[in-house]
Amino acid sequence: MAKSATFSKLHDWLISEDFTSSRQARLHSVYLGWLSLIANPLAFAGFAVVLLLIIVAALAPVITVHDPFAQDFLMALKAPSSTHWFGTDEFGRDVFSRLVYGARTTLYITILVTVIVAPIGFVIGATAGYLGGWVDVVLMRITDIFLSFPSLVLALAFSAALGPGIENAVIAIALTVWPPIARLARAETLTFRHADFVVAAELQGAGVGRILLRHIVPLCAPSIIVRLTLNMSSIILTAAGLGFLGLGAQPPMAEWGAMAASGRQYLLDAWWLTTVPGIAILTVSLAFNLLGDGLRDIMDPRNG
Amino acid sequence: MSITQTSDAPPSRKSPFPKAAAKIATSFVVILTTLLGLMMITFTVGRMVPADPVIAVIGDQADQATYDRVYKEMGLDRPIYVQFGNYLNDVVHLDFGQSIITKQAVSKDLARVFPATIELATLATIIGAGLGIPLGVIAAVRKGTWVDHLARVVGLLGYSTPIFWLGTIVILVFYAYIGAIPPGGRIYLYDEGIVQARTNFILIDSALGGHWNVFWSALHHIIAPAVILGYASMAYLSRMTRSFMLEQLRQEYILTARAKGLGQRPIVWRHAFRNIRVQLLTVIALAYCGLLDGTVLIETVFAWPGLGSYLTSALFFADMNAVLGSVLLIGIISIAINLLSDIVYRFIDPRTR
Amino acid sequence: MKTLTRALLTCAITVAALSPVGAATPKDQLVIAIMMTTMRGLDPHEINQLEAAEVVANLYDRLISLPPDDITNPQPSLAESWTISEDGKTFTFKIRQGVTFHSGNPVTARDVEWSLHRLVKLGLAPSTDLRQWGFSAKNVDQLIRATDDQTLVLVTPEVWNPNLILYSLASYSTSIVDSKFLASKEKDGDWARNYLQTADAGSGPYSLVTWRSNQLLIADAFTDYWKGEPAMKRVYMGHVPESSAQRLQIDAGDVDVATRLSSTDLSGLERDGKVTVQKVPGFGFYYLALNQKDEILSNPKVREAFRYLIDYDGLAGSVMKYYGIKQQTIIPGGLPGASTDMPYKLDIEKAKQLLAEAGYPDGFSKVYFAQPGTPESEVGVSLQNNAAKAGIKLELQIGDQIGKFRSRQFELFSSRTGERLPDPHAVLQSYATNANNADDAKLAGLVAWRSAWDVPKEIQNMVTAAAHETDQEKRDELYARINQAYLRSSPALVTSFQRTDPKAVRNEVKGYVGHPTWLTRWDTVTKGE
Repeated sequence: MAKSATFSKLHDWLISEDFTSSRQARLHSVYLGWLSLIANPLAFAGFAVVLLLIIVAALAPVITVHDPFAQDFLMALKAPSSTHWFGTDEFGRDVFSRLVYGARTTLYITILVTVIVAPIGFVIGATAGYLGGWVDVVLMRITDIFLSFPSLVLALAFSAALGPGIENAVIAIALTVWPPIARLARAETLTFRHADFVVAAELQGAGVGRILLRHIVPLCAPSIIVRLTLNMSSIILTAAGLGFLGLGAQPPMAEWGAMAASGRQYLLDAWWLTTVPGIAILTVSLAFNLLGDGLRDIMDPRNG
Repeated sequence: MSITQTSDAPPSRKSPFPKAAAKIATSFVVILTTLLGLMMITFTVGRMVPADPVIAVIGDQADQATYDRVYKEMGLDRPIYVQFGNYLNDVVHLDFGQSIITKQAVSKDLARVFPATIELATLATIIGAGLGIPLGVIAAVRKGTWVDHLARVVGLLGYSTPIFWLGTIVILVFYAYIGAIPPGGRIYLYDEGIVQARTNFILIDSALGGHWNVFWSALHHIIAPAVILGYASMAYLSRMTRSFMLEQLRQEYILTARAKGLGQRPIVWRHAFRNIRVQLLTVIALAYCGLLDGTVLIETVFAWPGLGSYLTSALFFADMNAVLGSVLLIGIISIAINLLSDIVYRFIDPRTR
Repeated sequence: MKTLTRALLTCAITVAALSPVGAATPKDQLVIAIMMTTMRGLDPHEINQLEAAEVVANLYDRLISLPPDDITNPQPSLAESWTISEDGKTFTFKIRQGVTFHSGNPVTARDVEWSLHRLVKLGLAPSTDLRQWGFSAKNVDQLIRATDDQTLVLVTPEVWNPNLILYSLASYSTSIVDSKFLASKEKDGDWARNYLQTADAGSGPYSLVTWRSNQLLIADAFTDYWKGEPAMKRVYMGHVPESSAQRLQIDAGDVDVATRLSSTDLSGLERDGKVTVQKVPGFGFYYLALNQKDEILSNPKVREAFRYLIDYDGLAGSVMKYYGIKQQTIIPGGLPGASTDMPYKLDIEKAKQLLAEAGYPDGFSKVYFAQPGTPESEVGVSLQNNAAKAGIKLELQIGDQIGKFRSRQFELFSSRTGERLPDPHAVLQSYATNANNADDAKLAGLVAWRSAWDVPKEIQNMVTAAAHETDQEKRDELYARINQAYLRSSPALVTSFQRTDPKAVRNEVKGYVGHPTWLTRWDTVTKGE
């Protein structure tokens, strides 16, 4: 009882709009977001799956019983059983373990691409929008050139050029993901470009960098975060597509797309090899989409 | 020593050209720079490919003298800017060089494989629009009901499904287990060589020639990949339709129409839907571009002899001319479609005129 | 409402199209599923690849043929008969009369002369078949001549074992092309090279109708073929890159022959009983090349250690089941001097011990290139795994890296070879001779040079001597000695399996017999019930 009383007190404090500190105000808005996230079952489901993905990736060695890389030709292509939940692959490796370790690969690619793309996209877009003029023209021209290729085709071309390997795949995907972010950042910046507080800061002699960082970033952040979350889904799909074509992670690393692809060779004798990683890709990608969709309703109602 | 005199006269404020011409000139420059950038990217990619293009031509066992000769023949010994210049010059003359794999002019290859992709993408778009737009409209009209939720889930699923995987599963279930669809390809092998190629669209060619068994064979083959691609574009189209419709339904004229006692159906279809048609057209164009992406993977899965499989096999075997040609073609098509939809939007939509 | 109607219509079409489809290939047509991506051009004097060779084998004829079931026994083909001079250098061929090309032109000794000159003078990959005996662009006009329409005289610069010469004249590379017809197709002195890429000018049992790269090839029976019109009126080769798709199609009867199946799918097909699987032995090996310019890899103990890191038995029972026969020596089974010794097996401890003796008890890291596709990629993944257990960290890159191998820019590389002559010399020439190991010698046709392996002179000399030896008994004995010497030398080219090329053939198809030097013929095929 005492516990729930503490919780309800906390709840009251968080929900109250009589702020006593800026910290309370910030926590208040986060809390409201959280409440509306729980209120939206689909978005919450997405959030739960993403959380699960992170936990699984972090605890991979604890969760798995088998070594994901241990080969045994005598155990090759065994159907799912109590020892091998999702069966074994053509080298006799445990598919469940590889799936769990594959979560790490997926997360690694997704996070790395996002970390690369967010600042680049923002800087290019915001600079173009803020400075305008020929800077805007040049930067947006470059953006448009990259945008004019369908993203997978471009990623395919780049990763083929860079050679196979997970780092190269990350670079190739990043090259295709930044342009929409830059476009969005530019559009957002334009709406705030002539706002009073920006002009005021300019009058006080603040530099471009400072204005972008202190004033534009916080305002663009919600819509960019929503966009990045939704993007994660397409990053996962592109990565899987590259893996499928043999251009992503190289053996023996476990990667879902490559697993599904190599399983296709054994489709008729070992359906689980293709089916299981495919469902994993689908689930995670759907989760990011649901989460992004929910976040949009919460954080970025203007573009909803 | 000379001092440059600056003119005292202010620069003429009036442009010598009429406004429209200036606008056309600007967009011309825009397209030109985009194309140049496009070619720069494809050229760079082509030079970065690790596999050896000379080996690809002469084979693994040839001796060094042959290697050196072919290396020179391919112009690979010249400076990079010269190579780029040559490349630009060739492209302008629609000469993408010869493919190493097919031993044909790439432009000829593209003319052969591209119709297969167009055929697939077009049918997929028809399926996608035919199902996606009504779904989007209904979801908007019944916002918040189970129909809307269903539409949302269906849409998000379409966004989230790895298309190559779905294709594989469809082949497994519908070909291997049920035996309802053919195994891939455009028609059965033994139906090849019957139909005279006029348009290179097999559905059209076979119908024109009256080869109905080939026509049915072709239809059988195209259905599965087209439905899968169509599903992906349906997801996108239904979501866009829904948000366009919601925007319209909030407008005042709808409220007025409602107040006048107009029924739900005419309001939705005759008023609201009519107003989003142009927007939808642009979105369909975008979806069509997106399908060019999807075809790369789905063509690989279904052994569909189109641009996608042409591109991937060229990539793997360092067939640089073929890679550059097809990537460039895809880029140009995308630009063209976007441009076209832009023009349509500008000139047809009364509000932007 | 229009959209809705359209949606319904689409649904209707879908349902209609989903109704079951019946399929079987027509009785007088042969449908072959292959992987076509590496088929580039059909010029017999240029190609260097199994699938293209099969096509060329049927579009053209050669002077001599080698029966698939008696491969070392040369038989007359376009050459009705031949004689060999006392000194073993002059070969005189009598050309068969009354044979015509697809164009209607008669086949004469002039065509043979022109074809062989063309092969040597173009100097492309398959020209090795004649160049290795001393023919060159300079001397070929002198040494290969038609003395009249029915007689061709070929003089070798040195004495070679006559079988080697005859085998060469049975290789697809020495296919006879229609010189009169091609004269009109020649452009800028290109020997009609451009034309022959995608067309045929042969006298074989089939003539080319269509070839669309990476899609399909159609060939029609040549009604005036000198051995009689073939039973299969039309042959289709379709590009079906996926093993599972090939299996499904051959199982359903959509194709008659499938040639790129994984071992798993082949087992499955054999189990079902509708299909016979031929394991066609080839004259080449699955090998691992260790770059001898690398300090660690050039240590003989390290080379030896790798021999203990290959899971011979595990691979033989799984991915290699249909793709290879365990073979750790250098002469392919069935040829003179071949040995069935298997001194090596997977033994991590032994490998560790050898590494420790070599001075690398903690192992090392290397980059390892493996070729894509089954079974090469699986062989690579398996080696990587075993090497890791012995402390060797291999960064495996699966992809088309043959260019790096050729230019010696690699550390470890694995692939397979296939030779065109059914003779130990063909293999040994590449694996066990390297006249000049310097970088600028550029003997890039030899895998020994590519690995920068300075093959012991003793072995090299024996290989040369054996090729010149005309006494078959002495020759056999010499090859047995070479085989043992090669094994003892701890070679930089580690062989594990002799190549076999599996072909799945539906039971009702008779007479499709896989040929060890890639000359599988379609004119012998018939279809039963």
